[in-house]
Amino acid sequence: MTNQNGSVLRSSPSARSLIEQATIAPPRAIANWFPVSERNKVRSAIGTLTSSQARSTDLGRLTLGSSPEKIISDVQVSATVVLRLNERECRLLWRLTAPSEQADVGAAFGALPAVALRLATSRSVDEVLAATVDGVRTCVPSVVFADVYLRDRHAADRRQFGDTPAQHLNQLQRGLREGPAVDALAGREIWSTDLPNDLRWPRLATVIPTFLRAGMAIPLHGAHGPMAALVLVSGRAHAFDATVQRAARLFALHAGLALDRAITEEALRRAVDIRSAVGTATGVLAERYRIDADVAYAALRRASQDSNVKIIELAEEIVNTRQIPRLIDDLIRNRPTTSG
Amino acid sequence: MSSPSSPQRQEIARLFAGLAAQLQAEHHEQPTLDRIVELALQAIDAADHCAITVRNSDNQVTTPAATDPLAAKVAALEDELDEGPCLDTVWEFDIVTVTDMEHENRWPIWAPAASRLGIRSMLGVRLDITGQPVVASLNLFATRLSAFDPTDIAIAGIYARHASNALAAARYEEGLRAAARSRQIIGVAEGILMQRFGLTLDQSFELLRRYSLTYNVKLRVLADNLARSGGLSAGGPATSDTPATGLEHALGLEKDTCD
Repeated sequence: MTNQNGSVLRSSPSARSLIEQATIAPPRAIANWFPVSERNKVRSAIGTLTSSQARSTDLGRLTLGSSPEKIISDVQVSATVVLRLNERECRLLWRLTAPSEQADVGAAFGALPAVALRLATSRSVDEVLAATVDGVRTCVPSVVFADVYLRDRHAADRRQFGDTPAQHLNQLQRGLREGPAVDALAGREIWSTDLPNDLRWPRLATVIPTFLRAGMAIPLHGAHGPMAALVLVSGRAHAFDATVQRAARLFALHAGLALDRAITEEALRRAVDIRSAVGTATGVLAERYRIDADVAYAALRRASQDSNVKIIELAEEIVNTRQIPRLIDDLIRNRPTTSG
Repeated sequence: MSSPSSPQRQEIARLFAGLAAQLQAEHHEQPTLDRIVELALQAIDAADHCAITVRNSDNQVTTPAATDPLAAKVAALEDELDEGPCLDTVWEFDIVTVTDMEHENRWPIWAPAASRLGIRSMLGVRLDITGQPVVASLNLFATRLSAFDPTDIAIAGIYARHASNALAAARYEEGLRAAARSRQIIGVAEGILMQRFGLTLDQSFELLRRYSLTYNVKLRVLADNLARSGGLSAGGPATSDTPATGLEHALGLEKDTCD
């Protein structure tokens, strides 16, 4: 066994720990590393693997003899990565994730209308993210892993839909504050022919799993600038040519439109809930102190500003406990009155 | 007809992605409608004029957007004369075409009138606005005979899909904005009822809803009355009233119940 490509075979301890972290919950999480069509096979293969508690070395040997069940044995090798990552296994995983056949560009463009329609009719941010990650591999040739990197304010407490390795790449970028997605949020498309050897992001390059090679990050534009970046990764260096870039750009336009709308609608739905709760608290105050609703609302707002507590939190406290916070009580009792 | 080659497909895909972006850039209904008619002329070469006909949930037909007064007039004529392809599109068909207005006999009153205004052919495509109780049609008019070929019809179909998505999104967002406004005042009424009668939030909503159903008055109106009365009755409710009649008074329902 000769080492034909140093960067691919490089297996730093940090890469190992990252991959181990990324796959704490097999087999589901590991299966997400594979194209959708292979996932069920992967899940069952890993199921067999973990139940038999086979040793990783045995699995490596199994795979090297090329058997008719190539896919299943490949799956076993990549499952081995979870148990023990070594250079040979890393290389095999790389082979698995590298697209073997020429990308079908025509088919990719032909698939766009259906995917664009699904994006356009998605009503929630979660639906849009799921449609984006599902659709991008059909519409953009050569993409193996995909995820959406959301701005911090949109990313909090959000369900994850991306492929595990791409999700992982995004977590690294968020932690390090560097990488293609971080740069793409400034509004530019970012392309990397080989992420582990890309010196624009030196810290990322040292910790990125070595089977993530060519990468691109395309800003998803909203009405107020980029809200997110579409992150696409291949297992092969230099995998993304001009055709792939065009397809990705086009897809990102649809995904960005859908995401922008879903974020706006989510904010509006949230506004309906907030207004409702604030209204109820206003009504409670108005009735309790026998004051005008406008006066009650002004007191609520003033209390929120003075105490630096969100108005929705004050409102919910009043509605849930039926107790009036001291600050509001004082504000209403000591308010300047025009009529005697 | 041969299927388009890969570069052509890319070109078409890029064109429509660009149009979709422009259509969805407006987040309100009227600007979206205006943009749909304006961009339709760019997307469908053969069209000279464009108007949108909308049938609302109460079956009222209107022409809320048109590229020019002529398009508005031709579309509005249909409502006046109670016949025409735009009406048929909003009621029944997905696509309607007229190749020669002068010799068109499906609409014996409207077609000659449109012809006199200089319209020789037309293409109407239905806009299906998902999740909304309205139907609309995109009406493309041409001053040439048989202006629309199968390619134009195909492009108009795809364009209509994008336009429908944009319109549905704009209407949904406007609905949410209106809901945010009315939910606040309904919230105030709920809060007043909770405090006055010691109800839970759900019970107070249910009480409002029952009054709304019984007296056939909109929830929002009842809530508005109650919120106002809270301020007016600052001295306390009239002691002779029972709680129920006091409430009916506050809800503005005393007219039919008192003598």
